[in-house]
Amino acid sequence: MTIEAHSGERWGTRLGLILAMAGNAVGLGNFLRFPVQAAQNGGGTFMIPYFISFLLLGIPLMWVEWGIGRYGGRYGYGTVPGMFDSMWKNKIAKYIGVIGIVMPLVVFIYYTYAVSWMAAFSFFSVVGDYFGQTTVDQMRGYLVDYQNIFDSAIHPGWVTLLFFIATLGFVTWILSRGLSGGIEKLALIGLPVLFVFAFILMIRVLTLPPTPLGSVSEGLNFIWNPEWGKVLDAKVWLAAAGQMFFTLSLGMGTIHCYASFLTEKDDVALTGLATGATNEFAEIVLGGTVAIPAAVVFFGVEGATAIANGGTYDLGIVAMSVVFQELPGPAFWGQLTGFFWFALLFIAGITSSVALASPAMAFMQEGFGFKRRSVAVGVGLVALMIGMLHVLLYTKGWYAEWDYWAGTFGLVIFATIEIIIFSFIFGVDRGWKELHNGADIRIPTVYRVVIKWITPAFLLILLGWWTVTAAVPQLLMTNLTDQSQVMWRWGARLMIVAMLAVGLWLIKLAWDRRDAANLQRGG
Amino acid sequence: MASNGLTAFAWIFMLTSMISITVLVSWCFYRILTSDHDFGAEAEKVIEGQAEST
Repeated sequence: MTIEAHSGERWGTRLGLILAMAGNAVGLGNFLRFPVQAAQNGGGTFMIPYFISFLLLGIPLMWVEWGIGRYGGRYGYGTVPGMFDSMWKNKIAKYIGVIGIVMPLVVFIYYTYAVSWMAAFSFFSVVGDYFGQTTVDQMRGYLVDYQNIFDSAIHPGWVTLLFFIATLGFVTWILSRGLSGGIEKLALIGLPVLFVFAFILMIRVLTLPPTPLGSVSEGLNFIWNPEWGKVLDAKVWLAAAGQMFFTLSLGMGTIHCYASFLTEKDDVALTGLATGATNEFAEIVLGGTVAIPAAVVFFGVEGATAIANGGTYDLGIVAMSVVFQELPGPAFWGQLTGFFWFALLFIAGITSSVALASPAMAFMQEGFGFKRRSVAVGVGLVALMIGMLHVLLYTKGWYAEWDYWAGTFGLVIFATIEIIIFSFIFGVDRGWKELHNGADIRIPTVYRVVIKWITPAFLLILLGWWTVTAAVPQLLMTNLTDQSQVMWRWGARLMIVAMLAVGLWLIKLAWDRRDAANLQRGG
Repeated sequence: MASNGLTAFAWIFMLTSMISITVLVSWCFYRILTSDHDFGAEAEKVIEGQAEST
């Protein structure tokens, strides 16, 4: 089968690509999910399996995804169906790849809604809107009020809608401007700003005076002092391995898509390592020194842990908003610090959002020949229509259901499939050679064994364990306390299934179209 | 626990981790920024036909 040309776009500069890839990886997970996972799993106890997961799961999967992406791009594919098809001579390969288009689109839709909260809270910080909600319970009520648009007492429901539409509109505009003119430019401006904001916040937190409840050093001690008796706890290992997916944006299809715009002579070994390392710097050095130490200062270790157990947004939005009001000095400084925090989260989120939409966009461009601008508008409109369900049904568990199946379980399924295809079907020998084409560094030979055996084994154990301990109870809604959500949660699941079905149908259409075009050319 | 709230192990673990990551990032960017290998090259022609069979 002859393949039509890839979209013809290329990255403007290598630095731009690295920052775009880092922008894809550095997201809400670094600054919101990481501290919560660390706090829920014993702080320092979590960090040991976290680093091991980085070495055995994160880095090898990064290289594999970069390698698959560049390989597929060479054959005219910017998305996973074509990449799998080019690596595995089997008719089902391209259909398996549907997960690499639909799952990032699913995540894109609800994730952009969460990013819009950060835009809203940046604004609320500047105007001091939540100042006066001085306890965690009050602040939690403020957030719930914002999310529940039908029963909001503080803001009218349209405020939530407005921030969502504005955020989605901004993402669509960036996407419509193309790879170099939109995504790369956003990363070149956004990432440096994000790091500056993060440094300002880190210094602010590290210079906080102690309170009767805690101090910064106690917060740091909590993160870095392991409880040795719990280091072998399987739950902690699963949490650490799971965090690796979120933080590096693995198992999404986004790295593949970005890497597909490289040429055969472009390095993926050093560039892939650089983006992974940049992400870890943002997560450990910056993300690890803001939320938890700040929360420990004002709530103590036990209080911060209890807040973190309430969920990802309880620590990053609720607790931090209380912290900003408790900061020494005039309220203005608290408002400014709050703006830095939520603007940082907004930038981190928006660079990930554009990456999440990219596979669906690339597929429509390469599969059906649509222009980028039209596809951007189309993806934006689809996201708006489906995203409205998240806005309207957030309190019914719609968001939580998508977050679990697409943004948690789906990542591990995708990663397991791709590592098996790369290591056992494509072959680790060819894969190793592929990774070293144009490479600026030689990947340590030990990683050949890691990619072939250790990472797949790690993933299979993770997948099996998660299926038994989390996916089955989630499917059966065993732990669901609000039974009125059952119907809505099934609706959310059916929506994902429907999107997968549409994805499969579109893949078939795209391949039929290519076959017809090739026949015409041949004839 | 040390008087400042951090145990000796926590200090060492934290500093080793942060320094290692910082050195790794710095090394990567040093190698990249001093390399003449940029990605702004003209797009290569896409290979016609499917990838070679395994």
